[in-house]
Amino acid sequence: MSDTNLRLVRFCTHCVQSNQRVSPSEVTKDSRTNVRHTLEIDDGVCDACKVVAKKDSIDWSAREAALMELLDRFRDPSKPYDVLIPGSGGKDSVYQAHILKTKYGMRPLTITWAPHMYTDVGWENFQAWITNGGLDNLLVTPDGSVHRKLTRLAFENLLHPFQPFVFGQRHQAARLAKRFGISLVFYGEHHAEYGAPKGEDESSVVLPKYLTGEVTSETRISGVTIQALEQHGISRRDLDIYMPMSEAEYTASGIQTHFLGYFLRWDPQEIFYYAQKNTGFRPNDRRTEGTYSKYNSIDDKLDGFHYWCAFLKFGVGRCTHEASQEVRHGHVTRDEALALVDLYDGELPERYLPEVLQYMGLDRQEFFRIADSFRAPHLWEKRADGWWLMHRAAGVAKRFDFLT
Amino acid sequence: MKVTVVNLGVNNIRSVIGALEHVGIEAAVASEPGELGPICLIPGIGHFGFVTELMTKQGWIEALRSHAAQDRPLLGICLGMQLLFKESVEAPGTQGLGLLDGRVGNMADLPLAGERVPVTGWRRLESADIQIDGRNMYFNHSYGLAADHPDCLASYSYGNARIAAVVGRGRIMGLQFHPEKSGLAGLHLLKHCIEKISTGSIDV
Amino acid sequence: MKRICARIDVKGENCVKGKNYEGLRKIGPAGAIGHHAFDAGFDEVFYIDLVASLYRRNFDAAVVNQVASSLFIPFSVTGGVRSIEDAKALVVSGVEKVGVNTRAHQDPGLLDEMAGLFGRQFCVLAIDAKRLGSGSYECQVLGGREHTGVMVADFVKAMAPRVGEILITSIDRDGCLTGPDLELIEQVAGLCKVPLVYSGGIRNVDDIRLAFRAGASAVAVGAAFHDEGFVANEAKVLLQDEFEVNL
Repeated sequence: MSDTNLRLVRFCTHCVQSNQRVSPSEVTKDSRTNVRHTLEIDDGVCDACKVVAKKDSIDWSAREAALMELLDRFRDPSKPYDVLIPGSGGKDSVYQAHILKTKYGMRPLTITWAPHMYTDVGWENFQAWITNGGLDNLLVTPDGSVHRKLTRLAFENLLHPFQPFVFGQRHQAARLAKRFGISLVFYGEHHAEYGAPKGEDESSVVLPKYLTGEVTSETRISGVTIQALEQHGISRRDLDIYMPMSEAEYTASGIQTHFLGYFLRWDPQEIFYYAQKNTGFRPNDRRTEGTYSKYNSIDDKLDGFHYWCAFLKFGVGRCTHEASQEVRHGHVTRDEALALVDLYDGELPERYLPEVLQYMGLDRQEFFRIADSFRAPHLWEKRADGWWLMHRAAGVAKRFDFLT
Repeated sequence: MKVTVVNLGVNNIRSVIGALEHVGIEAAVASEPGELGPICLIPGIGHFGFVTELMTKQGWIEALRSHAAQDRPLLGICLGMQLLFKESVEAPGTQGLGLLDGRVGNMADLPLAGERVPVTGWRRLESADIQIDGRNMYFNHSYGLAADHPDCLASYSYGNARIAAVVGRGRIMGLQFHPEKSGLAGLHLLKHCIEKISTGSIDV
Repeated sequence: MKRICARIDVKGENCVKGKNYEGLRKIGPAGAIGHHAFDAGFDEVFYIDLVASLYRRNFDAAVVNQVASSLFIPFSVTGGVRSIEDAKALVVSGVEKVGVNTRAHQDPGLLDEMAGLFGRQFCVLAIDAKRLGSGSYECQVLGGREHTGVMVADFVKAMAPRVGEILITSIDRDGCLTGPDLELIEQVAGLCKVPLVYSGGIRNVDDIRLAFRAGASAVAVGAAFHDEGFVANEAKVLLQDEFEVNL
């Protein structure tokens, strides 16, 4: 996917996502300029829609049988845990852990890579997950002073404040699995349902390239090499908790990582119902900023900014992401999705902005100045009255300026 | 039997037409006074002042008074019942059809013993007419009449008050409740009342 | 005189049901479900389109058409009423009462206008209440998407004299089958003199009894009816020892 192709902005005709959306990357390779895989739209329909549409013709009982056969190989009452589930206590990990434990007779160890700043509802749901769900949990929290520095650097260098978080999210599971002698790890939703390189949806396996990496002094986090981070007072030892094991080590360990969503038909709305029913999962007390929903990804005060930054870089935000998913699952029509995107996409997450500014040690002006510098030139136009997003699913340009 | 339903363009005629047809009574619609048939029905919903003003302007008041003067059957439902009277405290200074004596009062002025107004819900009717007595009907009104009115034919109790549910004299009858929203009992009662005023006078 | 009403949330032509106004799951055609409610002995039907104002559209006329001439219990419609024309269209199509939520905050005069034409008893003030803390509830609009900063208690005090009925829904209990919010009922019942309909979390006849005792004139039952087979007639039989019910 070359850079020049990306200048041509296209929207899926089935959902409202655009071809600007980046797919999950090998995070140790992220930099401001590296070329990322983006959502492919062929014949007007994006790969995510195609993957989700396939779900109607999948033989789910065969998939479940495959799951049970896989679990049979790893289930082991002689060990304290026979499966590891990384998660936050959000609706997805509630479902994964609960169903593997209660329906399929596994004994999970849940692990959580701590959010930067817990929201109240996030913390309550996390506790409910462990207590009502009856699960052991390991909460891994990186050194707060390092984490905030990295978050700020990632914001400044990549406009991707979540990037250091992703390191832990991707890498800790396998490392802890190895430490606890657990050979089976489950993530939840198959990431191909949102757009990933073609063909990945045909396997349940989370490819090692997403979970492992070679760590050298040239490895980057927050867009800065490990070596250069010394100047920011961050040592290689400080960074160990973020880093992956090597692919060789992973393969040798015999650990397998799968998407549960490959085996069990995944509908986020149904997952919400399951979580609410089984552990008392609660949605947000108000609409999540940047979108219309209340139950997706609500545990980290920084979360909204992940999507907001993406909005500036790619022209599509949280609402586009969620509404597109709901179109794919038949919960809203494309017209409704357009109406929602028009109402909420690109909304600045004001609720936690003061805390996030303090967390990163930035003031409002600096924050917006940095953010503005990342607006993709082929998407945004600066006019007398501010910044206008020229390419939108609705077809009409709209002003999104935050400094006035 | 055919009943003509008065259509003012701002009232609900659909429910009552559906109800009539359900009990085998043919329904016609009068969208202007010239279309009134031999048996007429004024459906409910509306503010007394707004509706009487509209009806006066469009010539309905005259036409309906004339209809009644010819001893032709006329049934009013809810506001339609209240229109049969001379006036209502809901809209002082405006005139109803004046076919029945008296003034429609405010429910809140009756001894309701703390019960809420509007009266919204199902009440049991009491009446000398055994086809009406003991039936539960759906009411939704803030204005109405006490049961001591001389033309009261059925009543219901609310708090310490007795409130007129059915009024009538000659071939004119009014139902304070909504028979078209009162289940199957309401439909039968609607049919019964229409038959009563159509075949003979309700004065025994 | 107490009523047990059916709450039928609607999106387009379908009945939907959510939890905490989230995740609207399709149940079936809204008109047919209104008729089921009649068969199950409900006294009244509340049709509510939670997302009409959000999508800036009106309650689907097709649904009203399916029930207007054939559903012989009262049904009200709430959702997307933004002007007197919207209200008039609903009256003429066969609706007994019209409920307003979002618009009542932006333009309270609309309710006065509706009362002036159709009578106060035609107007229902629909309030979606979000609990902030003990005794403290905030009004939410746009199908629970936006908070208003207006407290339920203040809104009820200001608006109750202008309407014929209040429909209060606990967003926290909606669809959760966790029982009614009695504190909310008591608070609102104490602040108004019009009939009060409560919705949110009702599971069974015991919940209804408590809701009535707390001051509700009526309850609107949703999930228990759609998902758990609640039959109003059975509940009324059990409640008649203590309350006047329609049997």
